[in-house]
Amino acid sequence: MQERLKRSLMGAALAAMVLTSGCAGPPTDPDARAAYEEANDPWEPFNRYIFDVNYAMDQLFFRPIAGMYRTGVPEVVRDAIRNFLRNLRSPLILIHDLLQGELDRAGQTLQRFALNSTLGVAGFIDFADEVMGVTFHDEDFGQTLGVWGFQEGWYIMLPFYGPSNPRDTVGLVVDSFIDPVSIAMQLYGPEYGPLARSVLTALDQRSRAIDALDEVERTSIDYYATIRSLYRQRRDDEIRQGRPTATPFAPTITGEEQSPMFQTPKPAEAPAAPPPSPLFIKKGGVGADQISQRAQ
Amino acid sequence: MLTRRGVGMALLMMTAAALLSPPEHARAASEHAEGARSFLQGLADRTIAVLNQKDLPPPKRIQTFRQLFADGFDVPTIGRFVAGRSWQRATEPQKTAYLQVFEDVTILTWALRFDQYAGERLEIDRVREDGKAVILESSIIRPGKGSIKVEWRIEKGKDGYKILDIIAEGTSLAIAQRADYSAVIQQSNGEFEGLIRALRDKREKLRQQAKLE
Repeated sequence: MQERLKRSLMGAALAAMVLTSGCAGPPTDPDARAAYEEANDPWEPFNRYIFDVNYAMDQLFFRPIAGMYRTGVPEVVRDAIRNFLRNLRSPLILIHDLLQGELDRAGQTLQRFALNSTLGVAGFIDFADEVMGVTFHDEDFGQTLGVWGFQEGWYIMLPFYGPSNPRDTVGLVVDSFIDPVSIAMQLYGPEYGPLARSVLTALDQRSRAIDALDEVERTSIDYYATIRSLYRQRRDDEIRQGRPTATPFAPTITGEEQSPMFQTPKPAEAPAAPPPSPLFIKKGGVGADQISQRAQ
Repeated sequence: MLTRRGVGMALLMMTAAALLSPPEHARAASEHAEGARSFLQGLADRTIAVLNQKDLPPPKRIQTFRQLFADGFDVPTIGRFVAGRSWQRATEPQKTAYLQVFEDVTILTWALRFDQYAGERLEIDRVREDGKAVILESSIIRPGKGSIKVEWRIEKGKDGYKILDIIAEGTSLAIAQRADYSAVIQQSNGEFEGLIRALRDKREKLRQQAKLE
């Protein structure tokens, strides 16, 4: 029931986006255009609107509730709930480890699921991490698509859910169908299972993100744009399984930024770029940069 | 196309460099990495020593941070990077004004951040080199709360080693800040002055918070 609601909301959001996507095109000024391409967000006005609505709802309801959860429930209990939720997710993570060809990580997920479901008392204790040092890692279909070489596509702000893109939105929908634990709950119950799981997951993730998100909001000027960058970088890192990028984009003392990450405007579409300044050397490349509330 | 050629070129150059570089080069490189490591460890030790002095009055505290910050970070380089493409068009007075307010905002931000210090420790796990830069892979150990993976991008300039970027759990602060500032400039119709104004407002807010806390 609740899954269906989530899906139809997502459908409505996508439809609304298609309808409004005909708005402002890319800027003609080369610098503005390069910044536009770096942001990868042609639906920005619409996305900002959804972001503002999400933000208002969050400040009114979700953040206060998550705050009460954090202060009202002892840390031991909250950790046990998180362990339990992570364990329920393990079969899905295993599927993705295998789909991504990550056999070592698949072995870790399998080991964690076996140990935590038994010795960890139905998953409430993270036995595998605490005793064996096998730490948790998350996967989803969006990441699998990324590993398979699918690009993120344009940035999308989903109602309720937050930052996403077409690749990760497809992943979200597919995951809701293929999650073995969801399927099992639909077949054998309990009936309240899926709803309880979604509510607890949201509560767990929002409560753990309170400090980090407050900090980002306090230190940034444009909260929306900062979240967009953090989300894209984070997703990119998750798809690389935390391994270093071959082509980092970073400040350097010499001033020759290695910037293979972002596309420079194509000569045919934009006026010729200004002569290279000694401070910046622009190079072409594919955009792939990302806050995951999911990252603990 | 461009990318593929770029990658091919990079691979060719890397191979050439690997074949041509004498073993002494390798030794020099690891010396470079060692230097970066002891620089960061020293900076972390000094910072933690200041943080443990709980009785330091706020103005004195901020002043100490300013010094630590100037020693640790290459503020002009970071400032120029996060200003994004508009930097090239900014006038000299604008650049000076921007770098000043950028430094103030960054120091206040870190001073406030450090107020939440709760006994975290820095452990350097691995060192790797990336062109002229050394990347120190570290874990920030939070007592009772697990650890966070943080990478420090460090280069050696004329004033010694300097931090250029901090990458926490795969997210670069410099890239996020660059996205932030680009959006601010874009929202002020592409005017660099808009960013300077926004940063001055931010500085005012942060100063009030620093006094209140």
